[in-house]
Amino acid sequence: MTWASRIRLLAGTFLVLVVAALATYHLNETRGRATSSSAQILAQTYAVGSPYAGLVADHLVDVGDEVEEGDPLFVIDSAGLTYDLAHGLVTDPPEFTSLDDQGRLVVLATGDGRVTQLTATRGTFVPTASTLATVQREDTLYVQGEYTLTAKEYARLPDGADVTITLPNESTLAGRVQRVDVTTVDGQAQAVVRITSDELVDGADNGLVTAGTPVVAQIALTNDGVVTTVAGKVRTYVESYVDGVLG
Amino acid sequence: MATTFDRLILDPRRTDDSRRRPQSTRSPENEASQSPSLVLLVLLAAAGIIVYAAFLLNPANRGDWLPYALVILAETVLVAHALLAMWTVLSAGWNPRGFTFHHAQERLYDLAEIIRDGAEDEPWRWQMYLEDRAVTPDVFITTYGEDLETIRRTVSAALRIQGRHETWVLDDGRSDDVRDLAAELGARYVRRLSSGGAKAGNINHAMSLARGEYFAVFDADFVPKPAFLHETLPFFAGPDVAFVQTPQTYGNYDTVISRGAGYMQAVFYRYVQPGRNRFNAAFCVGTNVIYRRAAVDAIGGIYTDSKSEDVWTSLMLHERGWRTVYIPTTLAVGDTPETVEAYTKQQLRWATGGFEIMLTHNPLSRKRNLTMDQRIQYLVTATHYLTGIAPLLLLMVPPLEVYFDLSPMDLTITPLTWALYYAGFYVLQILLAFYTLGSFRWEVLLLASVSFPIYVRALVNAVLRREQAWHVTGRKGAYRSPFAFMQPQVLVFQFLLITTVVAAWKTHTSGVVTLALAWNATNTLILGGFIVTAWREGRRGRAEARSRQQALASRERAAADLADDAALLELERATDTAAPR
Repeated sequence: MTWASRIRLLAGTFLVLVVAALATYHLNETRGRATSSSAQILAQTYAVGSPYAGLVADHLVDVGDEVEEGDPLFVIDSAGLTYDLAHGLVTDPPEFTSLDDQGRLVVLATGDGRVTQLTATRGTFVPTASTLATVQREDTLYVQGEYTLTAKEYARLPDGADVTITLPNESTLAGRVQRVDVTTVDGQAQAVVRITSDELVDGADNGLVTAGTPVVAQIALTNDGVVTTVAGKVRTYVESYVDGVLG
Repeated sequence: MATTFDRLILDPRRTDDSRRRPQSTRSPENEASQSPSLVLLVLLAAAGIIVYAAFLLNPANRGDWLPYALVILAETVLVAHALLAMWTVLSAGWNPRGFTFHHAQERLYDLAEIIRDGAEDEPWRWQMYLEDRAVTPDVFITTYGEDLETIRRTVSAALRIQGRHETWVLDDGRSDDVRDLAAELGARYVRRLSSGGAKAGNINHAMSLARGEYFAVFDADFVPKPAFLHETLPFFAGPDVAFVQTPQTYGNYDTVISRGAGYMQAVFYRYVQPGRNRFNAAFCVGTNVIYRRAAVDAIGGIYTDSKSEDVWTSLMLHERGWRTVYIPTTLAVGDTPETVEAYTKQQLRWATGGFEIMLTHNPLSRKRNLTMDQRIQYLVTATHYLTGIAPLLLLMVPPLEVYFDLSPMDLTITPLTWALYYAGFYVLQILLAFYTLGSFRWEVLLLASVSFPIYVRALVNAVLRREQAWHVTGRKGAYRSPFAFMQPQVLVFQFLLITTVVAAWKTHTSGVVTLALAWNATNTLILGGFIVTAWREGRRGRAEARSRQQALASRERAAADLADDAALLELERATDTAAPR
């Protein structure tokens, strides 16, 4: 072989090594992540009900309205309450309700949040123990992700692991694992993971951050090993070198 | 066994005899391709291919698009060519020899003339007659720096071919030794001033000197058998036959490379070419062929614009409406490439020729004056070497799965079902090859799966219309490492080896055994096998070069010693005479 072909062979070998190293680094990064097969943003809600049956005389909120604890939601004209009051069966209205000047029942919000569903509007007759509206509690958004993990991957899923939540518009939020529920199917761990994040603010990102939005949640798994060590050392070395050159 | 001469005496003019007798119409060499077992195997393999193709194309099995596209592209080429090749093989059981041939063959010599000339034991002096006209074909032997011994063997054999003919040595190597050899053996010697057009130019130049109605062409390393003209010339009794091609048979199955290359060709010459004959699309392979001069003149001589002048010349002849004949009878024995270098150069030349047809001379175009049969066969010729590129695409699929978790198929079936589909194509193809070659020739599989860089290079060269320049130096005959010609294979091997290690590590840490690891390890082994082959060849080449050098050095030393002695003697004599008494 001539020296020219020896050098070309050597250059080729070097290129192969670089490509393989980059690909292996990429593989290791992938190996350190678990990607949800399905994930969505969810929130805690509470249902607004009435202790007395009656006719809804007025609804004071609409879907999407922000409410605070104690805000009046519905005014209900209830014959039962009138009867009870008249005969002294009750003296005060039940918890989270009050009486207006005409003696009608006013249903109050039990917590801060946003009205997401309204089933009873003005003129509706509501029986007892029925839901009038659903309110999504403020600051309770979380992500629920479903993961199919191998046994070894499940072992590398630590408590409070960091999670990257990717919204449909490709913007990302940081979160952490709060709780893992796992069942095993065919030797694979089917994990349902609850992820919390401070960045989940209702209505952020053009309203994408809201309950029901599909997202992709990637959990950072514990990823120790040769490749991580070597990659870390190379990174540290390059950083110190760059610092040395620049500084 | 009766010689041709005995037959001439005992049984002249069998075809003139009006008494009817049973005659075998099929020559023995065609029987293998008519075997009912082969037909059954071909049918089974065809069914297997269909099932495999349906499995691959089933949308339910589709995986990630990149590896899926690679697999579909590669397998489409492989499957289409396998089907067309099997169709061709099924057509191979047809004997091109008809009454015209046998009739002409029996009237080829004049018995009385032979006896008059006293040439009973010298068949090379027998005058041949075709349609009762005396014909004296020319036999061209093209040389270009081959070994003197090789040329001597070929020229001696060519001079002894039965039937009077002129033997010409067409020397493009411009060697005085070859000239002396031709003079010594009694062959004509031609050397031209330019070397334009390579072999085609060489033959065209010789055609301007020779006057025979027919001319045979042999490469310097193909030793013709005496019966060559006896078996081929009678075909020209049919006025539309342009050339008669005989197979390349090899006598040097000594190395892995030569076995791989040789057996690969064996299937072609035993089954594919006879089949193409039926399509009237058997093409010339440059050697062991005899042309009708008028046909070659009609297309302006042997085609010179390609390194694959043989295929192009055949194509031109077919477009002019000439008929061509291929007979699977061994009438010359030669050498197949033994080294990586020779194999690479040969395949590159052939593949570039094929791709040139594909890119510049689409056989399906309305402009070509070809029959449907010929169009199909030339399309096969033009795209055949794409099947050599397919392994490259398939090699890239397991690494994609190892590094990027991209898998070509989204399989919900069990590995056993998958293996059955897969066997439908590959195992049956291997079985078919086993049957046609009579044994499992792993060398063919090895070479077929590692030759992709050659074919990629050929495709690039054909697209850019450039000549391949090899980065090798060294004087002629000096040792050259095979690795200079297989750098891509070495690099791919390195990559696959690293990938296998990474895949093993991935399997170890994840606890999931993937098919990608198994495939990648297999591919690594195959490429590794080729590297080992080349390494052995290199070691042998180095040893030979060293012993040659040593022999040369010792000869030089001996010569120097002799000269020293002579000088000493001279000096002594001088001192003797000069010394005062």
